[in-house]
Amino acid sequence: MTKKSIGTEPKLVRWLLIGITVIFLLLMLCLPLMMIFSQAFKKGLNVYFAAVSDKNTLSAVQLTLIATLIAVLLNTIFGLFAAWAISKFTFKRKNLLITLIDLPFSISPVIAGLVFVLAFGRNGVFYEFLYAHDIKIIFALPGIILATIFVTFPFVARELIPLMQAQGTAEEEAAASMGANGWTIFSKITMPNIKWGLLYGIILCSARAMGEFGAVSVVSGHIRGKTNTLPLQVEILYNEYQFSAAFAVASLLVFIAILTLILRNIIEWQGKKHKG
Amino acid sequence: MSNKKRSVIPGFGLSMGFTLSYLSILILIPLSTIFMRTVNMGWDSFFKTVLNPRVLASYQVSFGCAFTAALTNTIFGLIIAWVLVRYDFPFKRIVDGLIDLPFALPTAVAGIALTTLYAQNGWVGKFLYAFGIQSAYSTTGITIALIFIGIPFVVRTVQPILEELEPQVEEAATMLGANRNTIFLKTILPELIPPLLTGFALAFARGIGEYGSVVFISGNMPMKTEIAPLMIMSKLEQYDYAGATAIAMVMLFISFLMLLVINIIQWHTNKFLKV
Amino acid sequence: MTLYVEVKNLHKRFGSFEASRDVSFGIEKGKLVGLLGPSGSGKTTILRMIAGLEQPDSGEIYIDGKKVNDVPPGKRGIGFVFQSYALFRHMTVYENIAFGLKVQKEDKQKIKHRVAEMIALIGLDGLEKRYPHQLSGGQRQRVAFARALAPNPQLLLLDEPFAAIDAKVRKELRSWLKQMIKRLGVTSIFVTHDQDEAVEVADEIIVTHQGSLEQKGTPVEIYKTPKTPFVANFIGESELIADCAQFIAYRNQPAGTKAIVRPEFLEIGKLDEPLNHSASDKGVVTDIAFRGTAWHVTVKVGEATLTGYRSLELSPLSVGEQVFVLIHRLYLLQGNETNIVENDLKTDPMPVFI
Ligand SMILES: Nc1ncnc2c1ncn2[C@@H]1O[C@H](COP(=O)(O)OP(=O)(O)OP(=O)(O)O)[C@@H](O)[C@H]1O
Ligand SMILES: [Mg+2]
Repeated sequence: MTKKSIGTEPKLVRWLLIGITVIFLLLMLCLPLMMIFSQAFKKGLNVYFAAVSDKNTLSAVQLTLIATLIAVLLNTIFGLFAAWAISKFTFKRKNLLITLIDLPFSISPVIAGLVFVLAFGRNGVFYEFLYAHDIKIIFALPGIILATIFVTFPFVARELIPLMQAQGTAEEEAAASMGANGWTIFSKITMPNIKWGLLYGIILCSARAMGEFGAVSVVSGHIRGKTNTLPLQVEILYNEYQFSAAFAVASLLVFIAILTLILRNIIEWQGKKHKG
Repeated sequence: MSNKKRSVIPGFGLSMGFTLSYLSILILIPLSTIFMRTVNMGWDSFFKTVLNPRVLASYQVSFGCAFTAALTNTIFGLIIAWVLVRYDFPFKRIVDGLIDLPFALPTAVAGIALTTLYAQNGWVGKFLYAFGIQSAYSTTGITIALIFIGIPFVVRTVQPILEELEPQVEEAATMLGANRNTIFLKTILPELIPPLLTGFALAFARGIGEYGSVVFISGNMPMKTEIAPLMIMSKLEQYDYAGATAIAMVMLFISFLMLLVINIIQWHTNKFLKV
Repeated sequence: MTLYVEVKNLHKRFGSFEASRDVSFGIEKGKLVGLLGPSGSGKTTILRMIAGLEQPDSGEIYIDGKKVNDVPPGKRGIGFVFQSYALFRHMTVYENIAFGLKVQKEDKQKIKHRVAEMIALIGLDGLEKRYPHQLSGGQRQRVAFARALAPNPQLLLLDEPFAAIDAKVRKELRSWLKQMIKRLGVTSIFVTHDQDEAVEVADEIIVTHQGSLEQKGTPVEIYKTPKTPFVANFIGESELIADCAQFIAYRNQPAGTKAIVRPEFLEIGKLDEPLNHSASDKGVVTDIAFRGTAWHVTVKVGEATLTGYRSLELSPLSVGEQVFVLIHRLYLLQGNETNIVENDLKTDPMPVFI
């Protein structure tokens, strides 16, 4: 690996830039991570496990998992359909469609929550109807799911579209010309090519869904043991100055985040290996 | 219509139909409620809310901090992407993987971690406060949180472009007698400006809307460290839906503007990428 | 004649792979030299070492009598044309060509003048303001050429300059480039793995193989007197014969001597045609193919399969027909050398066996 240094910077500059990178990432990314664990275990394992197995925490875990499961499932189905339409066919205004799918990336999560409050909340468009039929959306599970779907909407599609576009349509066309039906083409031809990307999209979408704070915060109403997701539980504990407990609950989410990163690397590596 | 080439691949109608319905029901129609509400409430009350000094101050905080953070990220993001693409050093893969942490870490968790870290008695805050830098409960703190949130946007936009740069172009410049600085400024940087702008716009858009990581470190002092999303939140808590909508409308406008900018940049670069 | 470029004993390794082994050659001023060899034989590596883009592990490089091993690439007075053009894609044609002059801080007026001159030379007048993506492949190649030549280099290096251009334009560009280089009188080395291209364009050819220099000479020399088995086999059409002693004219060679034969060394005639029968072997036609200007006839002689041409003027052969095959000459492979042997029987004015 000893490349001759033609066309590269002097050693000093190189190490300076590497130094800046390492220090920046240490300060901005590593230390916060270490801080979480250090705070979580500050008062010992007992306090940690007490916080993690607290009744409210457990119900938050449950709620988070339910909301995540539904949101990720729906967004995955959407992602597959959208990627199929966009990558395997040509049509006008394709770029507009892609931009619209990306829209939730650049919209504040608070606004994501707000739109559902405006639609279903008190003096919302559908409020009369919902009230008459005793359906609760805002300050209840459906609202949380809707908000989660909104914020994590693009993740699976975004992962699949470039992948499937790069793969082109030749293989699918060949299969179609041999008389394979849509499902066979998808499951036998397309799926093997995209499975790693799909898996990563699902994992990233799940991580984001579990961790969503702003949007869920608007629609949940913060009812303890009922409409609190994990991040909201963290917030409540933190605001009550139960720092160790807050960080203990937070550490659960950090585990998931780290797992996501590790999986991402494995998958990327797998993907490269399979490509050639 | 009839001249449209029919594809032999099945499922266009189904997948397109599903995509558009899902997109409309879950994203577009809900979003349009904000426009409708704004139109319904009339310009008077819209401007009264939006031009309220406290709201104006929150915009200033949000835009100002998001801008500073995005700018910082543009510079450091370039350096980090450069180092990751061009140099070899120990643990490079781990460093590379770590960049995505802000994507995967819940914002609220990042918020409390950063607050504890940069507070007066925190590991880093200790030193900063000693130098007279108030790193938590200030716009500095907000900026720090937004830097954390925004860094992957710049790195991950610049990195692939940098990887794909043809080494031959730099060699061509070398053969023509250019030195390292000239090569960077004249042949590399122009290629990186579009991704840097895109990364900046993405980080900026995200920064304006960011809530979870900021509310803890900002301290939320009216007129000083209140961010725009927090204003929406507090309007909602007072059941002032019209007020919340008006503030959201302005933010949406900025978001769309950013999207437009990003798309124009993409469109512009795609033209040149054909070579 | 003085040598303008001289390389001595160049060695280059990439890891444990030897990309150049003991490469030495000299090139006279004003010559247009083709570096020819199969893919991976180290042509690009040699070119890049001369340019200074790669440092040799050992060996010396002289340009115009001066050792340049420690001279940075931009100061060697070399113009380099890259295989994929490597144009600056956010600069116009004008800016691309002016780049070298600008970094050398030439006078503005002079730059303008020189660029205009180059644009006229490559025949792209009126396209100065275009960006590379608005040009065709051939036009881009010309811009790359002008950009390399603008600073007036004394040596021009071209790495597969036509590889990315389609066949038709390629031929045109080939002769255009040759004319251009001859007109400017700049010493040039170009890499190619297409022997037609090398033969057509180059004054001299250097053949490389597995990192080593096999032979250097004019196209005719390389073709007529290949010095190594590799060159004999690589240049032109050729067939390897496992044992040449089986043929009547070469019966005196030790059994098992390998040889190379080219189609143009063969004469194939019907049994009743006036061919020097005593110098020929009998064979059977196994295949006939029409190739535009001649028949390509494949004949089996004993164990060996040979291919030769037969004029369209002569009466056509048919598969399975018995023929005489006259082998005018062969390249004998003797160790690392090749030697030509002529058919000595055909010179005999009075055939013995009548
Ligand atoms: N930077 C490098 N690192 C490792 N190996 C290299 C490098 N450059 C060249 N090689 C190896 O050295 C050998 C010679 O390469 P070179 O590019 O000189 O061949 P070439 O004759 O130009 O081939 P081609 O006709 O395919 O361009 C090849 O086997 C190649 O894999
Ligand atoms: Mg090469």
